[in-house]
Order: sequence, then C-alpha cells, then structure tokens
Amino acid sequence: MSSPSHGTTWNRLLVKIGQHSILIGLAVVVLMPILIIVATSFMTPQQSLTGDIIPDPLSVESYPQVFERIPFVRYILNTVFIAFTAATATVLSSIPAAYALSILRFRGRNALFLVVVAAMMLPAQVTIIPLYVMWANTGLIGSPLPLIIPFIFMDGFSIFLLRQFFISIPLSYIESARLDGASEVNIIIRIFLPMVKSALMAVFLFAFFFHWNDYFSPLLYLSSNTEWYTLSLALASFRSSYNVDWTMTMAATSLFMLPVIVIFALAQRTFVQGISLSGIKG
Amino acid sequence: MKKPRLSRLARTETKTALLLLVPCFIGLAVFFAYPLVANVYYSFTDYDLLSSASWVGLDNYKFMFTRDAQFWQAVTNTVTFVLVAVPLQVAYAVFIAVLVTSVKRMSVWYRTIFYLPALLPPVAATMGFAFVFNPGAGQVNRFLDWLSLPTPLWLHDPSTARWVFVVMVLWGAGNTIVVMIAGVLSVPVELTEAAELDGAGAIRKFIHITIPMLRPVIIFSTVTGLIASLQFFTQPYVANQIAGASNSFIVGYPEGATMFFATWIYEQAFSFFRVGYGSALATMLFIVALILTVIVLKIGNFTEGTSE
Repeated sequence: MSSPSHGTTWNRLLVKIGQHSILIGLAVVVLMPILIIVATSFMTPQQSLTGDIIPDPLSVESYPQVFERIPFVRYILNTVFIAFTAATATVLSSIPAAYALSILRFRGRNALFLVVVAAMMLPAQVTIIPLYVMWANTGLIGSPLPLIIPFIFMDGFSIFLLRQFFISIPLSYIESARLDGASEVNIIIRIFLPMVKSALMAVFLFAFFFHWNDYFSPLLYLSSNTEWYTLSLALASFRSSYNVDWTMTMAATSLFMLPVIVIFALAQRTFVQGISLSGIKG
Repeated sequence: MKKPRLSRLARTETKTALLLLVPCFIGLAVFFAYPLVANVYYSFTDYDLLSSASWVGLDNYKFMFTRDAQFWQAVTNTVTFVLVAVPLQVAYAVFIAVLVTSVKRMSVWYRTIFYLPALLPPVAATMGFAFVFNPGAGQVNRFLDWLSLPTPLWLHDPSTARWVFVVMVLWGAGNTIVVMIAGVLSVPVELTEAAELDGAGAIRKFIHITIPMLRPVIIFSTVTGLIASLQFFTQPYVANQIAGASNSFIVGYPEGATMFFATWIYEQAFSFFRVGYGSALATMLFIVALILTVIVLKIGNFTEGTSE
C-alpha cells in the first residue's frame, strides 16, 4: 500500500496530465483553421476541393498567381501606408491627452475621461452615417484621408490604454523636475516619454493592427476606388470578383495574416500587458 | 460662501492640461459629439444624400415598428446571437483562464495560442471559416462524416448559419481570455491556499473562491461583449459575399438568417441611401448601447483611486 503523501503526488500528476491534455487539445482546435488556410495555399486546386489537410503534392504556384492576377503589391502598400500613418497619428495625439488625463490635476478630469471611454465603447454605427455625410461633403470619399484624419485628433481606445499605463508612473520624477523649473513640454519629452516607451509601443501596435485588419472603414470610404483598396477590401471581394480558386484565396489570406503572426510572436508580452490593462481589476 | 481658491500652481496645471487637450476636444466635438446629435436629427428626416433632408417627424420610427419586417428579423437575429454567443464566450474564457493559470509549464504558450485569433484580420478569419465549413469539401464536414454524424450545409442553411458565427466568436475570444487570466491571477493566493488546507477540492475552490472573486471581471466582460456583439458586421457581411460567389451577393443569405442589426443599418444607409431611416435604426442601437455603456462605466470604476 502506498503512503497518503505518495497518493497525493500521484493524484497531482494525473490532474496535471488531464489539464495539459485539455489545453493541448483545445490549442490544436484553435490553431486548426489557421493551419488549414496555410496548408491549402500549398495545394493544387484539385486537392483543395477534397477536404485534405496535408498538401500532396506540395505546390507553390498559387503564390506567384496572387501577384500576377491582381495588383496585390499595391494593396499591401495601401494597407501599410494607411495603418502606419494612422497608428503614428494615434500615438502622437494620444500622448498629450493621456498625460493630461493621468498626470495633471484639474477640475472635470474624471468626467472628461469618462466621455473618452464612452467614445471608445459606443458602436461605430451610432455616428457613422453623419460622419459619412461629412466626408462626402468634403469630397474625400475614395481617398484614405477619412481613415487617417480623425486619429490626428484623438482615439478613445488609445487614450484609455495610455492613461492606464501612465497612472502607474510615480509623480515624484515629474514633481522634482518641475521644482527645477523645467517646462511641462520639456518634462514630457525629456523625462516622461523615455519612461513609457513600452506603453507607446503597445498603443502603436494595437492601432497598427486595428487599421491593418479593419474592414468597415475601408468598405465605406474606399470601396468606390480600387486604386486605394486595402487587403481586407480586396480579399473580401476576391472570390466573387476574380472567380479564383481556393488555393489562390488561401495564399492571399496567408500573406495577409503573416505580418500579424510574426509581429505578435516578437512582441506578445506587449500585447498581453496592454489587453490586461484594458480590463478591470478583479 | 467662500469658493476655495486655486493655488497658482494648480491654475498653471489646469492651463497646461487644457492646452494639451485641445486636439482631443476638437476630435470629440467633430468626430463624436456632432455626429451623435446629427444622427438623431437625421432620424426625423427623409434624406438620400443628393437632395437636402426634409423633416418627417416620427415617420421613420413608425415605419420601423409597424412595416419593416426585416427590422424585426435583424432584431431577432441579433438578440438570439448575442444571448447565445456572449454567455458562451464568457464561460469559455473563464474555463480557459482557470486552466491556463493552474498549470505552470507552458502557460505562456497556451496564452499566446488562445489569444492569437483575436489579432487576426476578421476578413482572413472569415475566409478560413467559410472554407473549413463549406458543405462539400470542408474539413469540418469531412470530420463529422468520419464520425458518422450529420453534415449540415452550415452557411447555406438558415438554421445553422448563425452557429458558424458563434463558433467564430468563441475562437476569437482572446481579448476576453487575457482579461480573465489577469482576473484569475489577481485572486489572492492566501485564499486558495487556506481553502486547500481546509480540504477543499478543485471544484469547490472554483465555485466558492474563483467565481465570486472573478465576479466583477465576469460582469465587465459580459457587458463589453454585449456591446461588441451588437455591432457584429464584418464576419456575416464577408461570409455573404463568399457564399454568394457562384450566384450574386445576397446580404443576410440564406433567407435573411445572417441579417444582423448592424448589417441592416449599413444596407439602409449605404446601399439604399435611405440615410434618414438608417439613422433612425442607428438611434435605436445608440439607446441600447448607451444603457450598456453606462453600466460598464459604473462597474468599471475607471476613475477609482485618482483624485479629481
């Protein structure tokens, strides 16, 4: 007979094995659609219609096709341009706002912050119709400007996220700099920003991927102009307008996902920290 | 009554703050406050973008509640979707979070994998799901067939189409999972250790400690999940385009089963250019979302621990 402590160890091992089996099983299920997309992109068109998972024979033909049959490079450049410009604008406009809402004290600060959070929470659909009318009146529909200009002024989510980072910064650094007579702008640039680099990186990455992934805004403002199509827009109309096979669709889909997966793998800590802060304390 | 005097330092601080907030104020006014008000105004008009808006009073709302059959279909679809998807998503996130935090080894790997789908482009994800769920050669049906289970038509059958989206929402629940993991990690270790000393098993610990401690995070995730699901648009809209590849693009295909509220707003305002009516629909969404947002702000305690 085994001793009680021996039994507990044995039980613990069984529990661990059970936990890891469930997690590994679910992880495989979660990864499966991504793996199937990539695998299908390496199949022949005939094999892609069989429901197989492993490409046999391995074919890379669908990749050159993506670039030959549609202006894929242009779509990539359009998407990079919009995502990079909008994300840069977002970071630059969020810094002063989040700084004021977390470091500086003034009357009405909390009320203003709640308005920013409300702007972030409310569905886009409740403002999108007048916004569209506004952009239509300026004649900018079909150009990427309606996707970029608002972020020069503010983005609710980014201000919210930055503020959550900023409130954990001790005020003593700033106060001692103030006593030395440094101007507020100088304090922000010289002392504050170097301390919050990782927060700025998180906000940039979230904003970049938001625009990289976005479908709704490009659909509204760019679908009238194929010159400025983004990857989301191009891919959504891909199968119907070009009547292409699944292997080519999946090759384009893989290329669309690839930068997201690579950058996420490199910066996963930054993402997870940012998302954790967007929740509430338990 | 004497008003409290602001010190010189506090006054300069206020001035600096207002100066730094100028772009934010402009942004809030032009891209948030104005469109919110304009949307309510448009909802009382007949407007097609070409001729100027003409006042029609409550006509749009009367039409919505009495004559627009697709409004009710969109409401029913959205409500049933929200009521199924959101509780499932929260339960799934709690389950994963508890498991991921209870293992030491590989927990970063698991967290990374479960979060990843939340970051992928929704259009790419919809492509993948439309492919693996396609009735003829999709891997899902091939697997079900191998198990001798029924093989539904999924996105092509009104009774199963919405389930594909429910699965997709669960698959992409990474944000909720990460928030939930942070919640589980903030449960004081002393509590669970004390319970273990009292001889509580894993299930009793879960019911009597983890769940009550997670309550605020669960409520927060549920309400933010509700708001997110109310604007569910990209996945059904893109799936409709793929499903209609062989024939034409039918929004809500099949038989309006995937017509959600956000889709109906988009169709009215931007396909039919019934801007006034679209705005009336958006105003209804605004009322519901506003109530939910106020709840989030109340339970979120976002300004807790900061002085005014």
